[in-house]
Amino acid sequence: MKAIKTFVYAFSVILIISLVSAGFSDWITGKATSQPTNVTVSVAGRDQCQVTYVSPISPVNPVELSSTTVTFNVHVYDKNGMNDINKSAVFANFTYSLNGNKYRATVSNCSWINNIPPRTANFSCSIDMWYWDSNGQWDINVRGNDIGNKTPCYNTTTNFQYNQLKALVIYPTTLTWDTLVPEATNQTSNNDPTLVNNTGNYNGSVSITGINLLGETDTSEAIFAENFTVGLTTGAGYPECGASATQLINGTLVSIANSNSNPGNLSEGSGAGQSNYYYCIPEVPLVSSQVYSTLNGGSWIISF
Amino acid sequence: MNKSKILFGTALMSIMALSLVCAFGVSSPYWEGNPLKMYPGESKIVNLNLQNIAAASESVTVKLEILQGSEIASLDKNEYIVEAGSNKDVPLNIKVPSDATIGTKYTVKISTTTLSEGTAGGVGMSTGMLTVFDVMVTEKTVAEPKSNVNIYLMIIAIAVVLIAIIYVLSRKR
Repeated sequence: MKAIKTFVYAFSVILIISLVSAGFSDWITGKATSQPTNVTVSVAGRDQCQVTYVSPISPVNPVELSSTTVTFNVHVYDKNGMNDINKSAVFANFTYSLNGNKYRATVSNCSWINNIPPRTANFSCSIDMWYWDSNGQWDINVRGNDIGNKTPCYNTTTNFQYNQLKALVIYPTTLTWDTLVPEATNQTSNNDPTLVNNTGNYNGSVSITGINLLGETDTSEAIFAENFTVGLTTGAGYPECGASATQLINGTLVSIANSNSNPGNLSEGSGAGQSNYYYCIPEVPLVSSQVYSTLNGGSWIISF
Repeated sequence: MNKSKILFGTALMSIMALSLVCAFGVSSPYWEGNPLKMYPGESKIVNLNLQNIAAASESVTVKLEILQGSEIASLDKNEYIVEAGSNKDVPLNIKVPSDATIGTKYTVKISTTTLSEGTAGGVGMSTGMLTVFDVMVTEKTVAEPKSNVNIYLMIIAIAVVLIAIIYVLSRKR
């Protein structure tokens, strides 16, 4: 019993000494008896983040020869709290698969908008879609990250529809021929080709609706649309006049053989987004001497 | 009649007076391979977006014509003016007959062409688009009722917890 009492006294003395020693020594040394101390404790979350929400995107219309910005919101969740979400490490992009190839729109660095307490943050992402981007279902890929776990989290479960845009620009808008002589053969236009710029995303054949050319003086006479052929090339042997060329039909949409609208980025040059069409009268018909044109019958139509 | 020569489009002066480029576009949410699905008796408006943006310097008059599918498709107007640098939604009304059988496929084909004045001295060219898509008649989809499974699980969980509490309390007494 005595031993226990001795132990309690000894322990109490030690406690008292430890509690008062600072004040006592400070009195000896002249130091301040207390001072504020900043204590910083960083706690890194150990759980991986999750991209829990991607706002739906309505079907998007491409814009001729331009881009359209697609904006949407994403929510990133972290079990360890919204402060564990890395606000500058949320990215999004769109991908489109066609014939085994994967096309990718520009990656967006998403901007933090606000927190949704206690564990979620809201971000806004904007991605430009261009006029040549393919029509169809584009997958939305979102990647987030956090501060503690650092393992990226993904959401690849949503998509949106990018609509079809059939759009073109043609030049020149009038075709001409040198003065023709009846029964002359392989008479080609002197200002072709018609240059067709595809300013949309349509990928397919090109068609032309030909209209009979009526005489400007005597409209009872005409050079029929069937007297014209259209080809994709010109040069020796007059390919635009031969078997590989396509004969037009009055008032009828005729698909030009082997033609393709060739969608692409026109700014790249080297023929991307362009196609050319050459015209021929394989044999000039027997008609009277006057000007024949589309003045009274209506223009020809180049169609996608 | 003098048939020795044809004066055909060499009037360069008239060419110079013409606009140098012709541009136009149509955007559609449906196309060949991406059909519109509707049930018998359903009505829907599909907006065709006419664009006069690329290289646009003047307004264009656009003529629309339903070439195929007029039994289910109709237009409020056949001509629209699209100002330079702008676009316009044109409503295309689609109504599937109430007696249409499931699996029926209607093809809708609409031509849109820019109207231009006749061109003297040559062959004037204008632009056109052919919008083609299928309308598939499908079953009417009924919204599934919300599942009650979660509610039942929650009730069971609460019941288990209550039983456990009662059991523990009774043991303490």
